[in-house]
This record gives sequence, C-alpha cells and structure tokens, in this order.
Amino acid sequence: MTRKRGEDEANPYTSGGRRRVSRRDFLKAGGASLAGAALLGAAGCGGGQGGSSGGGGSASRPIQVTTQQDIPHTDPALGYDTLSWPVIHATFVTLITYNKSGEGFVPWAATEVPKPENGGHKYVFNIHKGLKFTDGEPVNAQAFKYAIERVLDPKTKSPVADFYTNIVGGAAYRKNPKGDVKGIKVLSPYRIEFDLEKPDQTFLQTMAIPPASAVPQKAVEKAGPNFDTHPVGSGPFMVKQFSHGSKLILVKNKSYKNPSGSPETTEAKSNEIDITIGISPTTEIQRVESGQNDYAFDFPSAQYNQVKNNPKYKSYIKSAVSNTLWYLFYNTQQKPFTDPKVRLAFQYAIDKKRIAQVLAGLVVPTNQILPPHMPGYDPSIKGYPYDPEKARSLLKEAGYGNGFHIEFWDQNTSDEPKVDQVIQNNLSQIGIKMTLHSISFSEWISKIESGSAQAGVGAWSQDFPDPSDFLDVLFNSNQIPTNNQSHYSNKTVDKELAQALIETNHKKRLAMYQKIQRQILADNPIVPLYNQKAVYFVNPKLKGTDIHPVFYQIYQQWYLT
Amino acid sequence: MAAYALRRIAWVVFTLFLVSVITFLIAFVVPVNPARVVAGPNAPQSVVNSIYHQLGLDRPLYDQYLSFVDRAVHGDFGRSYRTQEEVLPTILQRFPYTAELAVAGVIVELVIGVTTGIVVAVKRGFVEGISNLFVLIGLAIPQFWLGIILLFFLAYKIPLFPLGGTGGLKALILPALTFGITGAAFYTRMTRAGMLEVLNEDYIRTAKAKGLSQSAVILKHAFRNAMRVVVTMFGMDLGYALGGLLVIEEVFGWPGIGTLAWQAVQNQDIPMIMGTVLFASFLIVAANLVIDLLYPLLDPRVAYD
Repeated sequence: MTRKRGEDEANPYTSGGRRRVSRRDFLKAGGASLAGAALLGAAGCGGGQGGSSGGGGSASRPIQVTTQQDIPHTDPALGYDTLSWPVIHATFVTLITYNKSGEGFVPWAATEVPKPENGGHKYVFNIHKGLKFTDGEPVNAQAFKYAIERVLDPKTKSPVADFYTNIVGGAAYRKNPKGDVKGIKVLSPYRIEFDLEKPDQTFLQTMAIPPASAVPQKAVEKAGPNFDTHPVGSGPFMVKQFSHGSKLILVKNKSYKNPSGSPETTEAKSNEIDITIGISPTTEIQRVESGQNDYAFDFPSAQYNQVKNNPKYKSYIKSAVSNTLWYLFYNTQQKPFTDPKVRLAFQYAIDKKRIAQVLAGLVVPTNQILPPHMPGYDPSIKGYPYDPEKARSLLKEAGYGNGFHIEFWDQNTSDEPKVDQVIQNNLSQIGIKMTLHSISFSEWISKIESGSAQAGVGAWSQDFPDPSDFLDVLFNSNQIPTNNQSHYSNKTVDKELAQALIETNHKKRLAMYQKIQRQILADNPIVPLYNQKAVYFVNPKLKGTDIHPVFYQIYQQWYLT
Repeated sequence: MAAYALRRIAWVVFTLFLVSVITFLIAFVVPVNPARVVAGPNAPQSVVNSIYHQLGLDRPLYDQYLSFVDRAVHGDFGRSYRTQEEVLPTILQRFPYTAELAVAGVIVELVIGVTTGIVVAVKRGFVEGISNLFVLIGLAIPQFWLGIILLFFLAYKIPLFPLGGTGGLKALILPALTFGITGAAFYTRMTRAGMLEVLNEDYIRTAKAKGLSQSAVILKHAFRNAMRVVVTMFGMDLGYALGGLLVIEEVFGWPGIGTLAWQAVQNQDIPMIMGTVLFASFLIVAANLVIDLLYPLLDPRVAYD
C-alpha cells in the first residue's frame, strides 16, 4: 500500500489493487516546507515555548492532530493509502484484524480466525451477534458479502478490486456485476463462506485490511457518492465531520462493544480526535511543541537530523522503518540492460549512503527487496559496495567502455529530484549519460503503463505484511509493465512464486520466498535503494501511538494522560 | 450607460467562455488518463475502461465540452474525480473562507498602502525614505516567507495568535497582515503617484489660496481625485484575492478555494480544476466590471455613452 497522503495524492494519489508508492510520504511533505525549515532549526536551537508544555489539558479534551495532505477517503471501498486506512480502521469493522506485530491475526467481527478448508479453497467465518452500524443495521454476513461485491463492482471505482478476484465468480462479477458472487455464500445470518478459485495464503490478509470492512447496504445506497464523506460504520469511532482539505473529526462510538475482548479490537480510549488538514510541516511541529496539537504527521526532512539530535525533542519523535522499498529499475529486455554485466555495473555504481544523506537520514539504505519488518527479510544479504572503479571495468568488459546514454523517468515531487541527481552524478562517473525526465505522478504512471520507460526510480509500500506483496507484485512476469517495471521475466521465479503462494507451512513458505528473492537479486533487475522511515512528532502525553506495521496509526488506542 | 453595461457583460460572458475552452483543452492535452487517476495505476484495464466510459471520456472532445457547458449553465459542474463531492457546492463551501481572508487582507492593504501613499506624497525627506524602504521590502518579500516569519514570531515565539488554521478573528489577523503588507506597497506607489499628479493642479492651489486647512485640501480635494487609480487597483486586487489566495492559504492552512484549486491540480481532478478556474475567473471579471461601472460615480468627468 502506498503512503499516499496523497495525491495522491493519489498524490495524493493512490494506486490500484497492487500498488505503487505514489509519494515519499514524510519526505515530500517535509521538502515542501524547506523555506520554513530554517526557522524550525532556529526553534530547535533554543527557541520555543518549551518542550515541557506538551499540550497539558485534561484527558477529556479532544486529541488534536495535524496533517498537510488531505485524507483521501473514509469509504472502505475507496481508501487505499496510509492516511485513509487508519481512519477506516477506526470507524469500520473487518472480520479479522492484525495483531500488534502485524504478523498474525486476531478475530474481530468473526468469532475466530478460520482455518482453510478443502485444500485451501474454502474459508468459513462465524460472526459475533450484536454488532451494529451506527444507523442501527446489524453487522452480519450479508453486510460483509455486500461489502466485497461492492468493491468488485466497477461502478464503485474501487482501486482494490483486484484483491478479491480469486473468490469464485469475483472476476466475472467485476466484468458484469449482476446477481451474486458465487463464491461468497451467506450460510446463515451470522455465518459466511468464501470459496476461492485457487488456494491463496494471502486471502486472510485481504480479509484483514480495510476494504473488507462491513458496510450497511441501505445507508450506502441512500448516500451514493456522498457515503465517502458521510460514512456509516460500526467501529470504535464515528466520523462526526469530514470536510475535505480542512477537517476530519472522529468521536467515540459509544454503541461499539469490543466483540472479542482482545486489545487489538478495543473500544476507543478517547472521546474525540480532531484532525486538522492543510497545515505546513514546520507549523505542525511548532504546534505540537507549543501544546496546540498532539500529533504531527509530517516532518520537515531538511531538519530531521538536527531535531532528532536535540535532547529536548527526544520524547517527541516516533519513528519506525516502514515496509517500503525504493529502487532503480531498467528495462532488462532492452539493450544495454539485456547484458548481466551492465546490470551488475549499476549495482556498484550507485552510492546509496549518499542518497540517504541527501534525504536527511529519513531513509535507510537497503540491498534487498524485502523491507526489514517484512516476514522473509534476509539479514544475510550483504549486497554490493559502492565501487565506481569496479562498475567501470564491468562496463568495459560488456563492451561499453565509452559508456552509453539512458532516458530516466522519475516523479518531480520535492525529494525525488534530489535522489535523481545523485544517481545522475554516480552514472556520469562511469561514463553513462542520463537524461532525466522529472514528471508528475500521473504522467509517470502513464509512462510506466505504456511500458516505454527505459529506466527510472520506482517505489513500493506494502498492502499487507506478506513477502508475496513485494516479490510477486514487482517481479512476476504477469506484472509487466505496470508493477514489474524492469520487464523482468524468469520462468523459474514465476513458477516458484505460484508455489509459494499456496504453501501452507509458514516456515517453509518463508524459506521459499527467501530463495526466490536471492534468485531475483542474482539476476539484478533492479538496484534496491532504500527503505523509508515513518516519522511523527508526538506530544509525550499522548499514549498508545505505537506505529503499527499495517495501519501506522490505530486511533482507538490513543489517549491523553 | 445601459448600453455600455450590456457590452461589458457580454465581454464577461465571452471571457468566461474563452477561459472555459482553454482550461478544458489544457486539461485534456495533459498526457494523463483521468480514468487511470480515479482507478489507481494498478487497477485492471477493464476497470479503467469502465470508469473511462462512466466519465464520458470516450465521447468526442467537442461533445464533452458541450455537455460540460450545458450542465455548467444549469449550475452543475460535476463531481470531483478524487473526492466524489459535487464541485460547485464544494467551492461555495470553501468560498467564505477565501472571502473573509480576501476582504480582511484588502482592508489591511488599503489602510497601510493609502495612508503611506498620501503621507509620502505630502511629506518629503526622512519620511519619504522610510516609505521607499517599506515599499521596496513589501515588493521584494515573498508572501510565503513573510507568512512564515509572522507565524514564527507572533504565533510561536510570542504566542499571540494561533499557529495556522481557522477560527475567529485571531486566526484571521496573521494571514490578512501577510496579504496586506505585501500588497500595500503597490497601493503606496499608486496613491503617491496619483496624489503627486493631482497636487500640482490649479484647483489645489485655489483651495489652498482660499485658506482651507491642509488636511481638508489633501483629503477632500486631492485624494478624492487621486482615488480613481486606487479604486481601479482595488477592483483588480479584490478579484484576484477572491479568486484564491493560494500561497497564503497554503502557508496558514486556510481551507479556501486557493488550496482547493491547488489540490485539484495536484490530483489532476479535471472537474474541480474547471470549477475553481471558472469561479476565480468569474470573480475577477465581475470585480472589474463593477469597478468600471462605478467610475462615473467616483469621477463625474467619466461618462459612458
């Protein structure tokens, strides 16, 4: 899933079923406020109202949150970004959800996490009785069936429909949404069965993410497109007000009772959360520091290291390496990238540490495809050191002693050009002339879709914490060119990816993915660049804000002390 | 006068027509598929095609434009691609924020700019030097920078005002000052020039010879006649401000139509781009029309046949 407060959002932009990172989250937001960063730096060096003020106030006052980017959606069928998902996760209920580490599931509306039946073709969920939408409708099997059918219906324009086409009849329903999806069976009002075309170990993941939330049919049909700003959910919070680009207010849903009793499905621990939209990152930080706000989404990248190293702010910064990957890609089916030596030369040519430096330490260089918190991450992979001399000799061996010229495509948001310039400089040192096309996200997507981008920077952020979400999405030949931007095609890898998807033994499955990853890396279809850090500036009196690997913010856990 | 007014209104309509055509064409020349923007980059082609059809993008461009105009004249500017919200109600919901800020900002501009302009035209020496310095700073300082400085000193270091956002007079003051200070320099110059021109006129000498006080001469006789140029500028300025104070709204997190337009452009949200551009254009040409029609009231020498 993209960190796409965007868009961008989309950029704001969000992308589709399997999706591309549309923006450099925190970095972009930070870069947008470079002009003000110096002032923040000044504040960090001794000014300010004192980090101890911390918001004060009683625990009953609304929690104040700020974000620069608009929150794209509150409708579960439309939300597909890391600003929308925390809101939807707080206001709607799924059958199951993630545990604290994000590596396992706990039941939510369901009474238990089901085991696959019929060789992995069937999953049956029993649903708690008594859960209701805020309009009084029951949260039952029909509500979940309707939710998935609605996502599949092209009229909904859901970007995540692809997740559910493995359900029997799902693909046909997406083309012609008439009748019912055959593979979703309401066995009784509180019992639902899903039949799959083929076994898929990621099915439960797709049931735990917000698009699978129950939605009330009557309210949806009555509201039409307005459901996105006037959602009717059944989760721990309700949306009291949503004005795009301005304000989103969540209030505690007093009728919500924790069905499973587990901490992950808790009732809201605060009465109200006010999210103010459109505040610049520098001001966001100042607001938290002066006590006007409790949580700032955006961090001015230019000053991150300075603020991070200031003891005064130590208790304010929350950060975690997120499951994201930025990478350099090139079309492996076109010369000169058909030559393995040229691809290998690129591995030695790129100075990842320099890139991390220009991005102000908000990223961590990486040598592999899977991010550090993704199951299957392999710490034994060391990658290639920055060695332009070695890169030059490899090019010479490949017959490109005089270098060559490439066309390079990347987005023009604030931090991408910085990365591109480092790459351009690195490549020029080994004799490669790079023409940079710095374009908008929408144009970039169009370029990638056409399959004509020779090289560029791509990015991916998880939809759910499963290695298939990186390896299958980015390197299966059936993803050329949309996600597999390198046009990488290895029949053995394709076959092994298909096998890993249905393997039921978790340990064995992870070993399979590690083997696949090593094979892909040996073929050098990309240069892995870095993983991004999720960084927030938080009033120390605000508790329960641990960054979740999937949802980032779990609003229902937040409370003021 | 009536004939002139009708001619000017016809020009307003024609201007808006041109703006709509140009904006529409630009929106479609950009190499982006709006259906892809709605569906997301990785949605299957079948979904993209379906959305493409639902949005009517598979129809000829002229047909799309005509149906846009048809709906627009009935007040229907469609729905945002990104948020699904109706365009016109969204603009109208945001407009009061921009209007509030625009009016406050222009008042600050006028008060500072006109006062300084008059003083500079009348006084010389040290005061003139100070004023010139102010004008230079006002002209040179970017709005976003001044906004950040004001926020830093008057909201962060000395917490007199809120750090961005809306809500009451206190929240309005800093953005209005940002607009006013940067814009006042122009008014100072225009007022000064207008006043200097008028102060050499015979009727000013006559007024002085009659023994009128200096303030009466300046305010009643000179300024009234110098005001035409200020009013002209005021009309353009207010129209521009109402059309969207993009930079200031961004700096202060002010949810007006400037930020709405900016978000629409970022999102390739064509209906919202069309709506905000047309709305802003309408306000600018309407403000100019009103000012033109008011000229005869301000200056009896101006008469429209």
